[in-house]
Amino acid sequence: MYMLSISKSDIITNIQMQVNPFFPTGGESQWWIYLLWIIPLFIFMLYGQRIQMFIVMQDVAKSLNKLKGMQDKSKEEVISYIKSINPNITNLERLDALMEYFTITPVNIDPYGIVDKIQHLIRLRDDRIKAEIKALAPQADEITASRLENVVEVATALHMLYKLVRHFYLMGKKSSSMFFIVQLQMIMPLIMQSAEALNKAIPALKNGQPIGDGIGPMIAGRLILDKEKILIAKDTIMSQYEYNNRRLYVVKAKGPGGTVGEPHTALHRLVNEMGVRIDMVIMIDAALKLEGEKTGEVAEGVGAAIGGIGVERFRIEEVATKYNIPLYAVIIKQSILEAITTMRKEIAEAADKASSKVFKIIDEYSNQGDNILIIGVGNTLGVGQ
Amino acid sequence: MNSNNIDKEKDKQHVVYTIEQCKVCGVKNKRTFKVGDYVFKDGGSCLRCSGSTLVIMIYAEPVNNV
Repeated sequence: MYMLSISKSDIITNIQMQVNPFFPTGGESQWWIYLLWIIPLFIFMLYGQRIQMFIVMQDVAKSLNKLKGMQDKSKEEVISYIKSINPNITNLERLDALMEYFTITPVNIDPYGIVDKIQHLIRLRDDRIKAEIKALAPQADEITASRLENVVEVATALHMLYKLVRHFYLMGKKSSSMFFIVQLQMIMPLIMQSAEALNKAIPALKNGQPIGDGIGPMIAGRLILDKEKILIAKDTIMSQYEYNNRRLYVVKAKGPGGTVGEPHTALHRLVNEMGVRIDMVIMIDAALKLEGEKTGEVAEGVGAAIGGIGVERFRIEEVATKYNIPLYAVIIKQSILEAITTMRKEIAEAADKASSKVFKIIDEYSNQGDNILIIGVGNTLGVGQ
Repeated sequence: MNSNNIDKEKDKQHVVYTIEQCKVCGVKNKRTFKVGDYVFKDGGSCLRCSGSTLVIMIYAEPVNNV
């Protein structure tokens, strides 16, 4: 049998011979080798931060370009949708103005009464945008107009996102501030995720497909199928019926247009104007899942399950606290992308489980003769009743 | 952290389906979504008993699940 007889010293000598030119052991003739090491060291010492900044700027610029592409595409989608409704439209300056429309939030140095002020401004803004949409597409029926409003809102959000990122990018470039631009780079993945979600929402909104956020109205709608409904607040319907010697009041946004309605106004009217004694409120809503949680998971808890700027939640909590009404919440978990794009199968199929939870709460925590309000919270696009 | 490392979910293609259920025999029918469909809209006639149907769900499924 042949045996290799290589000793440890042979291996070391062999390695030394191979790397020797870069690790000189002496001699003046190899001074340039030292320079080969020292020059890059100095370059990195003096210009290291600039090189790093260049790399970061390139990364942010790439994302910014992608964001611009999304913004342009969304605007094109809006224009094509407007033209499909109103083929005679030629002047789209109104759309440009609409995309730049802003709302100045009320002063909060003295927060007393700020919710009323915010609600006033939101209602004003909504009315104004509806009027602009009507002017852009006068032929549109109520449902189509609400879809167009949703599409314009998405395009406006993408436009704002692009403008903000561009602002901070240019600020970082101008000031050559490493910390400015690194902070932007750190939040870019989250910004891009939101932008991607908004971008993907447009086809669903244009086609009137239910979105993940519509699971609340879908569950509520199922409870009141074939029941008489009344309009209780702006874009909000209510129906009532008997269940196990209890009276159920079910509220949802009026579908199948893309609206969220005013469930807080419905509760306020029911209690304060119609004089109904509400003994329990159950809110069903989509909720953002944490990474690692499954889409369509159903959970229950207490509190007002409603998103938005906070006005609706404040109003509901205000009435619930004043009349000591227990507030229960049933949520259906999903990501931001799933919440604003076409409803996923897992979310749609979670409706049965969420309904069971609602009735479990009613059976276990309420008494016979109680009046229970069930609110299906969310955008009711593509969901009737 | 690279800003392009966004959820891979975004690259998945989805097909949207409308699920109709017969009000009489309860049979469900799954078909591709058509513009104008919405949940709780009266659907076509049942394939089994010709009764009237109701759209009970509209959802998106990834293409590879089809």
